Amino acid sequence: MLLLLITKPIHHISTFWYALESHQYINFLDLFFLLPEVYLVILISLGIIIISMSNFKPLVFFEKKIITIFVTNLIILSLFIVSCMYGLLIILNLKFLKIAQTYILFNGYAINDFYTLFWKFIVIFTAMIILKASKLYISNHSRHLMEYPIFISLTTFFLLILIMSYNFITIFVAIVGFSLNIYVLLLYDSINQSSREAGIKYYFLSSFSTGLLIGGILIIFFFFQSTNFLYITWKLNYLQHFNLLKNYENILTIALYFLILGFLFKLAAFPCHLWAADTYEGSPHPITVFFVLPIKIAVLTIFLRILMYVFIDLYFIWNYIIWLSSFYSMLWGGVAALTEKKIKRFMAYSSINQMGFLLIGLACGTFEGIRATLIFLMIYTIMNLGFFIFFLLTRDNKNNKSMIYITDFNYAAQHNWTYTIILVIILFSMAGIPPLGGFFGKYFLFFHAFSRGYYSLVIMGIITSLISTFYYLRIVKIMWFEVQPKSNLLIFKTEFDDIKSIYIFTGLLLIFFLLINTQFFNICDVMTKNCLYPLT
Amino acid sequence: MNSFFLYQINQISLFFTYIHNFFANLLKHFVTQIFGSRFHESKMVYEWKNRISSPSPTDNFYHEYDKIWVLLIIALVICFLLFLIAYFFSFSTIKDSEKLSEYECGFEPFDNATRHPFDVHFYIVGILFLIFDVEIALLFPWVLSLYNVNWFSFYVMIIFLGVLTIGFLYEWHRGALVWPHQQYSTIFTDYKETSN
Repeated sequence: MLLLLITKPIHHISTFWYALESHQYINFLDLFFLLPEVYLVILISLGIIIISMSNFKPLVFFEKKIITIFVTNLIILSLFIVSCMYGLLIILNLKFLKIAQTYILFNGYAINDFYTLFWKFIVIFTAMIILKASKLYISNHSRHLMEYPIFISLTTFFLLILIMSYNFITIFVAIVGFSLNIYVLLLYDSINQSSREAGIKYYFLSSFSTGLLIGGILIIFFFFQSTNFLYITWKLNYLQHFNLLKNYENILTIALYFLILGFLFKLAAFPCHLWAADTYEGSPHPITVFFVLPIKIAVLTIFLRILMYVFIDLYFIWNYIIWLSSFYSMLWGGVAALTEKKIKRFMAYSSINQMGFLLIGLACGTFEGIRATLIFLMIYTIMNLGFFIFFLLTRDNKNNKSMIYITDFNYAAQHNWTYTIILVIILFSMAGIPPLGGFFGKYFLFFHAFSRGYYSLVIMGIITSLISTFYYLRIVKIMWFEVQPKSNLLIFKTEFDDIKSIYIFTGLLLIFFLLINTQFFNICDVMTKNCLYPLT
Repeated sequence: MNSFFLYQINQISLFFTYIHNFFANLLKHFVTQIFGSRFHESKMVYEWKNRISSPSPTDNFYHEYDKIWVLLIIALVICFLLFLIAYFFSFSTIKDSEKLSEYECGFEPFDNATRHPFDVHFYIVGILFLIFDVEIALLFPWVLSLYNVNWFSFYVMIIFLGVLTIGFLYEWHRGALVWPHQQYSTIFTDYKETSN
């Protein structure tokens, strides 16, 4: 079994010293790679100054709502500019230049390559769309938290740092940073009891999970005397080369299990998934999208890099827990969503199910498996983005309230049939119906799991995707065929034209996935190379 | 006992001899001011004591501490004066049981600790001032190494201080530093009941 593992070349000691010693003194040029983040931070501080000045007597005549919307516009603009910068860099890298060579920054604390560049772009883009869509939530809500856009942009900042981290210290700082902001954002709607419950539940469980994470990092530090990725890989290579790994198996299993449990909590995968449904239900709608999309993307990317680059020599230790997590999260997410009546709880369980699919490729522990997970992660972002844009921008005609129950979808088709067709496409691709994008993501995952010998995962994946087709199709049925004459009519708000175009674009991407999948493959090849072998 | 520890003990003993010498010299200075330079010793002894000798390396090192003792004396004098002024010029003597009682950050020190309402604002103020402690802990090594670092390392700390000032502005103008007006004050009503 171990022969099938990726054979990684042993890093010669000279490469190690080069990577550390060449950046021994922090260079000003390292900040060049952080220019978008620096721009973001400057805009955030400007927003904070504006908010703090709002209590001054000459500025009191501005309402709080006006100030919040002004600051959100400011930060949306900054996020747009930053995402444009990243998009330009990615296009240039693909077409003309190889800008995104690997650079180790800040004395071995961060790394910059195409993998980080791409996922940073995705995280910023999703955060921008969430902010744009949440303007409706702010304007309809009676309570106004003026710091809302600032907390959102600070979480995105910390997620960017999490993606580009190359050291366990950076990872811990970034995770604590973004979760601190999320604790506050969960209590935006603190008049509701469910919201308070969600906030307190997430706060306690998340602090416990970060405790597990720092415990794992501490044991790793005691063992290796360093937290740098490169040093740990080099040391592990050395130990494996001389067959010394089995002497230290026990301590390394404890460290890895602590670390993996800390990460699985943030991903809402099987052993640590029980917070997900309650927090998703209680949190304000834009924050649920934040849980589903940018946080999961950032944490999963760094999780892949840790397990597949740093601890690949310990595959025989961590493969079991990842297998278990993916198997049971598929099962739990598939079965528990059947009985749910609220949309956000339903989406929480469906996202747990999809997280199980994403972890199949990691359990394989091969190049192809990681490529399949990355492809499925892209499709996952597209599908969930489309679904949640629809969810955020639909309102009741009478109450002007967003929908809560699945039965609120009824009669949507008659009034906005163009948008509901795209929602149907998204739901079909979530279920995995062949010509759409979701099918291909699952297909590649199952194919590589089968070739690797994980028959149990393949069988469980097929069974749960069969179950999940039932509850995805139920929504479609409610939308098109269950006409209740007394129900309030749903309205897809049409003020935000750019978001509408993005919503349509997600549906088109899922339909025409077959035509563009070669481009997807090329990008994912480069990214898996960067993920598994960053310095070669 | 290693050599480093012995060296440390030697240094400490040298420091105490230095303090002794300082005060002895100070006393001698006042004596000579009043009674003349050669009041208590003969000319030969005076010349022997004030002979030109090679200075020890520790003398120069500790000589820079001279200013501190002068400042200490001035500070003691000022403290004493202020205390006296307050004693003489205060309008009334305070006889308040509340002010004489024990105080421990808003808690009642000697009571059943469970099931008492407590103002959260104490914690908030504590957290807000914790940040400045961290700032000082970062500033000390920066100050000590400032002579050796380049301009980038200088401006990094300036940026950090700027971010802190923005945060301070925010908490100031949002009214986090103002003690909230409570309609039912939890701490003080309870305290009066127990004290009576």
